[in-house]
Amino acid sequence: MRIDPEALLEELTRHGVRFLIIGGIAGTLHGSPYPTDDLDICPQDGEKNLERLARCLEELEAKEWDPRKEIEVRFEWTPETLKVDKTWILRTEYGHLDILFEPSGTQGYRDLSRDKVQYELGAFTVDVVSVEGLIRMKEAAGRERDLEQLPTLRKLMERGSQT
Amino acid sequence: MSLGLFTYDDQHDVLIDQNLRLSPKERLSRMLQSKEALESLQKAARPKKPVEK
Repeated sequence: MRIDPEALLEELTRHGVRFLIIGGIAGTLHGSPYPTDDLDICPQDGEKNLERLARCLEELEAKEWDPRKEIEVRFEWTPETLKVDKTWILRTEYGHLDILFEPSGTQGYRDLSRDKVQYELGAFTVDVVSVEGLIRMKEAAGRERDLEQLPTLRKLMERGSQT
Repeated sequence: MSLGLFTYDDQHDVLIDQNLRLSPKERLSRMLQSKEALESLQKAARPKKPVEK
């Protein structure tokens, strides 16, 4: 499935959702050459923000995606729905969107936003987890595909990724 | 999710240097372009199904 991360980010921003970009797209924005096929976000979990996120997911007609069974399930998105799980793997018209309220090795939005970085993407600005935060998550996740990116992220940390 | 298509090497350093000279928006576009290119290469390299007779 093709991904249009800018379109997804624009929709989230337009709905006023407070979130941090984490995962592969965060790496890309910091300068990593690793390709990725989804957008991972860590939203702030306050009630108002969950309402905004739910409204955005409704508009995107987001469906939960089970990659093992390759099936998708349509939900009515509400703050209550979002509270059912800490991780949501979704499909939208703009590609895969993964929502993680407590990414591995972290305590979620408040923890990660302490040293967030802001990047301009044309008409809007996005909050991105720091390279250090990304390293923390990948070390904690410990999967081969996470660990293989650590040398790149450490290199970016040495170089200071903000340009 | 990473596509896990390459590992760290000297060429990687060059790619990082090139990326750091781009704006974040350009980095995103570049990643999407290289992802498409890599997927096309993978598709082309996949063995074709034998034709049933």
